[in-house]
Order: sequence, then C-alpha cells, then structure tokens
Amino acid sequence: MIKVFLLTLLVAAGCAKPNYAQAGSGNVVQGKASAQCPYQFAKSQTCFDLNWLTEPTDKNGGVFNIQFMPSDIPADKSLNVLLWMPDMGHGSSPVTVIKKSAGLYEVSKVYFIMPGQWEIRVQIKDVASIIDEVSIPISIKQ
Amino acid sequence: MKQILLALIFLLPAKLMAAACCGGGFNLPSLITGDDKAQLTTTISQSHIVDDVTSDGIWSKRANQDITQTFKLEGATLLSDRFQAGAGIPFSYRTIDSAESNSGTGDLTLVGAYELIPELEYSLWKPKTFLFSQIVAATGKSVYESIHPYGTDIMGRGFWSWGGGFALSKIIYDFDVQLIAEIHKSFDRTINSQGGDILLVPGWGQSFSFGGGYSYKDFRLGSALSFQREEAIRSHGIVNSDGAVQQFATATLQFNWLIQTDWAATATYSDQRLFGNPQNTTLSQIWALSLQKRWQR
Repeated sequence: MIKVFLLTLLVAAGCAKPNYAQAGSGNVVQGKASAQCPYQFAKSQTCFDLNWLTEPTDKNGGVFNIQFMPSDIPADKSLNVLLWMPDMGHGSSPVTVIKKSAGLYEVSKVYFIMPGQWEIRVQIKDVASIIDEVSIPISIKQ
Repeated sequence: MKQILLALIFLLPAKLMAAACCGGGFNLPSLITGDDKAQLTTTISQSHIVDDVTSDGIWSKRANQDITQTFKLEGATLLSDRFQAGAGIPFSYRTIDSAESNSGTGDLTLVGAYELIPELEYSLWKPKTFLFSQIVAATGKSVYESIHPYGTDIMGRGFWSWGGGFALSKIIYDFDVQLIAEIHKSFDRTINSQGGDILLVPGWGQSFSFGGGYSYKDFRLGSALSFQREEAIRSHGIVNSDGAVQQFATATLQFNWLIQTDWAATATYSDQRLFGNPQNTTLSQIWALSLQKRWQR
C-alpha cells in the first residue's frame, strides 16, 4: 500500500502543468520605435518601415514591404531578409526580395514553418558579408 | 516461460519518442535482450502534433493537422556471445492540413551493445545489464535543407550525433521493470542559408527512461516514461543566436502479444503532454504497431 502511495505521489508530482497562452488573433510584431524611424540599423543609422501587405497564415505565405527612409541603401549594397526561430536554432524556407522602386522592396513567400517566437532579420549586405542588421521579433500564432 | 520471454523481448520501453522539433530526436536503440541471435522489427506509426510549447513554458494548441506517418525498419544481430550490432532507418510521410505533403527517409541509426551483466542463473535482484553506443547519421532532410514552405519535407534532425548509455532489466515473477539512461553529443555543422553561411553549434543531450510491465500467458501490458533534453543550438555567422534548451517527456502504454515463440506484435500509444515540464518543443500523440521476428540462438 505504501509502495502504491509513493508511486502515485511520484507520478502526480511529475504531471505536466499546461500553461496555455491567452487566446488572441493574428501575429504580433514588436512595436515600432517612431513614425519617423520605425526601425533603425545600429551601425549605419538607416531607417526603414515594414508593412504587411498580406499577413502569413497557416495556409498562405505572407508579403510585406520594406520602405527605406528617407532614401534607399547605397547602390553597392544589397538587402537580405531571412526568417529565424532563435530558440529552436533554425530558419524557414527562403523568402523572395524584389526591388519595386527606389527605397521600396517587396518581400514575399514569407512562411513560418511552425508557431512560436520568430525573428525577421533585415540585413544590409556588402558582397558576401553582412554589415548591418535589424532583428524584428514576431510571435506567430495559429 | 512465456512471461519471461515476453518481458525480455520488450525490455526497451518507449522506442517511439517523436521529435522534439523538426524531424527526429535521439531514439533509444533496438537491442536484442532475449535469448536470440538476431531480430528484425518493423513499425508503422502515426504522430500528430497537438501542442507547441515555448522556451518560457507557454503552451498553445496546434490549429493545423501536422501528421507524420512512419514506417521504421530496425534490425540487430549478435556478433559474439555478448556483443551485438544493429541499425534502424525510418521512412516517413508528412502532411499538413492536406495542403502540402512529402515523404522521405529519416536519420539512420547504428548501434553497438555489450551485455555487461548476463543472466546466467536466476537472481531475484541482479538486473540484466547492457552498455550501448549509438550513432545517428543525418541522412534525413532537415529543417536546414527544407525547401517546402511548411516544412513537410523535414525528415531528420540535421545533426550527426554520437552517444552511449546503459539499459537495465529485471524480471520478478510476472512483472518486469526496465531503466535506460543515455547521453549524446550532436556535432557542429555549417549551412549555406539565404545570404551566407551559418555555423550551427548543438550541444549535449540526455534521455532517461523507466518502465515496467505485467505478463499473463501470451500477453503483456507495459508502460514507460521517458525524459529527453537537448542543449540549445547556437548559431554564428550571418545569424547569431543563443538558442534555448529543448525538453519533453513521453508517456507510453504498450500492449504486447507473443504470437509464436519467434514472432511478436506490439501496439503502442505515446503522449507527450502528460508529464514533465516541456520547453521549446512540439508535443505529439503517437500511435504505433510493430511486428518483430526473432531468430533464436
């Protein structure tokens, strides 16, 4: 009897205690700093804004615009965007970046392969190396 | 005699631990634990991701239907009286909401084991003890090579791993108890991601499993609880991040049937939502059926 009690105690003590997130709708992107400079690269101090045209869902990929302000990145630099799940240590499938006009880039095929805390890594690239970066946290829900 | 045979051949509990994330963990090895010279096990399983848990321990219900069906082939043979070697390879079909599906092979597992304490005569207390070493080869496409938007082509963990541990088993009348512990190291790799190279640095992992069962005539009912933990995967290069520890527990209920002396079948249900303090992982329900053929010495 004592053995049964101890076993029950051991098992009960180890039971999982689910702590479910409060229900909410949509994905949550960390707030922008200001209207004049929503996001800013640390080294170059270049500002840009990120606006979703289509938010990603568990059925469809997302599309967003990146608008540099007040002007585009230098012509000899390029924009690189990747999705990263820092806690898990992996990314997602590659996005497509298309320059629409001076300072305006469209990022499409934005798929997050699982819910959780992700980062949109917006990087300025000089040939092969990343010279500046902004990491925008985004909470992906389902 | 049949009870002893049943307990022996199903020594290892919970061999069907599903992935913590993204296509595979470090499964416990399939060892010959009875008086056999070789065995072949085929398993069909279906796992369904039910919940996601963040590194802060916040749970969320998975809205989509992320289902993986796996056919796993495992074999082991004696090399000498006490040494044995084995291998296992899974073939999986993964679908998400029927919108995207893919199939492929998972990670190949190679195992070597040594029977440290054989059971030459009956002892009430001395357990049958095995030492084992296992290599997991990153043969399955991982999240780092995935090209499909929802990652249905992810079949493996993406890292080579080497580990070792021990397994203890004891049969006391119609009851049996088992304990397995192992530690493993996953090795660094560099991936070429969008925009440049990323060095991925995984760490050590551990798993601990214990279980027991009761045999009656040709049948056995068993249960097991396994805990698995993986250190964070750090990244360097075009992405720098520290990662977070992954951990989860798998509870398993097993029903075994000794069809003939050399044939056995097992039905298994595993659930990762019931025990432990899961972090930074997906949690699944897993159903499995396996058939095992053994060749006696």
